[in-house]
Amino acid sequence: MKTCSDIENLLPLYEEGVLSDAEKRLVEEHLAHCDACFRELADLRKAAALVRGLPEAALPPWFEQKIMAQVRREAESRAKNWFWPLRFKIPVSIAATLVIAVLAVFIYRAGEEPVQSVLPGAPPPAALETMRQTVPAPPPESAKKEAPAPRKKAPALPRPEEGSKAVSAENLADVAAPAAAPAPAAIPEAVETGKDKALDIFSAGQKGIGSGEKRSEMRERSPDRVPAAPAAVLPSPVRLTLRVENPAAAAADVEKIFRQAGARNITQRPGGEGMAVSADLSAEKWKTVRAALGKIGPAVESSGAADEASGGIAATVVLTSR
Amino acid sequence: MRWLSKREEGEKKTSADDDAAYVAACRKGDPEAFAVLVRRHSSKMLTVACRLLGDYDEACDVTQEAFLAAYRSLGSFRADAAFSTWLYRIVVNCAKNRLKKIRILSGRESGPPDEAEGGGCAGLACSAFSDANDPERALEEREINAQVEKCLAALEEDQREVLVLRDVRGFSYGEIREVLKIPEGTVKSRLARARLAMKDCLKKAMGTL
Repeated sequence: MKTCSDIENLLPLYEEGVLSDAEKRLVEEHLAHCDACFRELADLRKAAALVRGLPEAALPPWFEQKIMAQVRREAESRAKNWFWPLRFKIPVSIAATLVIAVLAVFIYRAGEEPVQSVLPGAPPPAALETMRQTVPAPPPESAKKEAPAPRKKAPALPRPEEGSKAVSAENLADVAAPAAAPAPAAIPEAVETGKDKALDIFSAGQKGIGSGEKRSEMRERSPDRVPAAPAAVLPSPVRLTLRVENPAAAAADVEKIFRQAGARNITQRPGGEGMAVSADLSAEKWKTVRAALGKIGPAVESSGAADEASGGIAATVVLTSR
Repeated sequence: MRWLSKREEGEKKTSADDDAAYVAACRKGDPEAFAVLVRRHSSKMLTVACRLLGDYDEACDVTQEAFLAAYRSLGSFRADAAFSTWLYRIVVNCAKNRLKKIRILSGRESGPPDEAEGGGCAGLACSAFSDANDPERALEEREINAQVEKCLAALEEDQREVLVLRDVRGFSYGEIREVLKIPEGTVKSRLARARLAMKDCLKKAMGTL
């Protein structure tokens, strides 16, 4: 038989039907013979009725208005704030970090593109030297007259608008080489002009890769390289004076010999007490020409290291009657 | 004895369905839909807050706070629970926080503010029992209710929560478990102790029940 304390905690739940069958049987068996617990159950029932009898709290008149006023204010601020959905999900510090990271990547990529476009297509220093060396330059005396002639070679370069491919260092070198062959003779005075032309040509070629200006700037910042290069290929001046009876007639013969030898830039002009014939030709041809000139008249004067010259020669034959 | 007396099941179901529609409207950015929810639930929420806190003004304050918290958190409300259950949980949590604050301020260990400190819930707020035809009976009822409130306030906080939800609001055990996030066995044991304590308190105060 269970005591009153055994069912004390079961009694408040007994009439709700939430007890198990065993618990319910225990309570019923105990209640059948315990008047005190029966009265306890009645008191529990009355106490519960009193609790249930508590009225609902009346709402103050301003209750709903106060809540809704705040709700409307917040709804309005939400509508104005585009970032409202992110307000708690992404704190400001994280958002700022993300923005900075994205900007950094963007800036890095934006800077990388022009650098990459320049580097693969940029001619190495050797090509730049070649460009400077192969600038078509007129001979000293006729520099002013024939200055436009070498310029005509420039169109041979693949311009960006003519060719879709960007001009690379190899292209520049290849294109520049033929231009060098027909104009081996140049003088130091023409170098500066030629340098400017080379820069123009180079820039024109580089425009195709979008960085010609930068490269020009780079080259202009180191101008000390420029004058040194062309000295190695300048034609050696050679001067030969022949004594002839009729300088004018002999000049025609000399010109003929030069032509047969394949000389270029042949010019005649009055010089000293006779005539002077100038031409550009190679050192090997000069030997042949020199031998042929001996038949025209005896040499009275000779200057220049024609034998030591390995490249071109700027020969001047002076014909005098004395 | 019938313990559940205040809510009709059918009414509860319809209300839950309607609530979902208004909650959806609120989520889409219609703040006026929330006014309907406030109108529909404010009285019940205020009553629970009032029974838990034992002070009408505090209860009004806490209920407003709970409604605003609910509005701000509508995005996190999941439709697998009734809106009212979710709202009750917010009200109970707000009330518990407020009690904690009051205890810290007053230096008391537990329990709601005394009637002397707060106004209680019977005075200004409770109008349902005012019987103009029988003022003597109305006065008697008011005294009884004040005594019941006093005993309710004297209960331990966890017992009071369960008793209010079950015997005042008529929640099922499952709903209480949802609102308080405690196991059903704990609900039962707390409820049994709360009823016994309530009965003893009332018997002591009133002589006989």
